[in-house]
Amino acid sequence: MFLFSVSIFVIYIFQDYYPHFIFSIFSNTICPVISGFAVVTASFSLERYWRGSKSPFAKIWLYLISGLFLWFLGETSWGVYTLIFGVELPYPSVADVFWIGGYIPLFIGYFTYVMIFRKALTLKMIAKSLIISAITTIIVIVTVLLPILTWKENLVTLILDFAYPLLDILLLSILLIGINIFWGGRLKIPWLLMVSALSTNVCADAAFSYTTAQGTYYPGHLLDAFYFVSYVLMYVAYIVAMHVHMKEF
Amino acid sequence: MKAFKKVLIEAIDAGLFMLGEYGRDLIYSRLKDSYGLIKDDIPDHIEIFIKFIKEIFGHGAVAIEKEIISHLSKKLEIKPNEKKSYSLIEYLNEARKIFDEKFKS
Repeated sequence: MFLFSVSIFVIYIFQDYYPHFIFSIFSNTICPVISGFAVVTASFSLERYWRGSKSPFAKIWLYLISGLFLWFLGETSWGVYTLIFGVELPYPSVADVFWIGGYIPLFIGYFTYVMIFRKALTLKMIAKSLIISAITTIIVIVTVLLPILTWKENLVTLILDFAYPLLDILLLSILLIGINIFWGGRLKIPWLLMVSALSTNVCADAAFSYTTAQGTYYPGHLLDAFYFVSYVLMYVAYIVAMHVHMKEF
Repeated sequence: MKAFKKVLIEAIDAGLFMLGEYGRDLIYSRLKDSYGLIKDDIPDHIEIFIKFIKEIFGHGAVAIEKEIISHLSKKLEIKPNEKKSYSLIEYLNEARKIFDEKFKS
C-alpha cells in the first residue's frame, strides 16, 4: 500500500508531462470508479447478511453502502461538471450535497458497529480517541481554517471549507474507538485501513479548503493524490472487511 | 454437571446472538473447521473458544464474553460480584462452585 501511494504521488508530481491524462483520467474519472467499486464490494456483504435480516450487521452494511453511494454520486457529479459541462472548479455544487450527506449514514453505520461491542469499551479507549481527535481538530483549525476566515469567501463556501475536515475528524473519532476495540484480532485490519483512509481524507479536505480559498487549487493538483489514495485505502478496507465478515462471522 | 454444561451452551448461544443468527452460525462453523470443536463441546474447551473469538475480534471478544456471562448469570440466578470485572473463565470457575453447592443442597 505504501509503495502504491508513493507511485501515485510520483505520477502527480510529474504531471506536466501528461497533463490531459491527469486531468481527465486521474482527477475526474478514477475516483468515481473506485468509489463505485467500494459500493459494489460492500453490497456483497449486505446481500449475505440480508438473508438473515435479523442480523445487526445487515443494518450496518446498509448504512455504510448508503454513505459510500452518496460519495460515489458526489464523485460522479464532480466528474460530470468538469469533464462534460467544462466547469473548472465546481465548488460549491450539487456534488457537495452528496458528499456532505454521505457522512451521516457512514457515521451511523460505524457508530452502530462500535455499539454492538460497547461492553468491551473502556474509558481509556474513549479518552485516547477523544485526545487524538481533539489534537487533530486544533491543528486543522489553527493551521488551515482560521487563515481561511480572513480571506473573502461566500458563506456557503466557508461553511463547506469548515464542514469537510471537521466531519472527517468526527468520523475518524469513531473509527479510532473501533480500532481500539478490535486491536489484536483479524478485524483490526479493515478498521486500520479505514483509519488510514480517513486520516488521508482529513489531509486532503483540509488542503482542499485551504487551496480553494487561496485560489491556488486546480483539478489535477497534487492534493488530488491524497483523495485517490484515500479512496483506494477505503476500497481495500471494504474488501478485507467483506472477507473477514463472510469467512469469520 | 451435565445441567451446568447445558445451561452454558444455551448462554453461549444467546451471547453469540449479538452477532445475529448468521454471524453466530458462522462462528460455530469456523470453530469446527479451525479447531474441530462442535457447539456442544465448547463448555469442555472454553479456552479454545475464547482464543478463537479473540483471534477475530481482538479486545472486542470481551463484549461477547460479557454477553455470555450476563445470559449465564440470568439462567443460573447467580449474580456476578459487581465490584469485580470477570473474564468468562473466572466467572465460570466461580459459577460452577456456586452451582455445585446449590445442587448438593
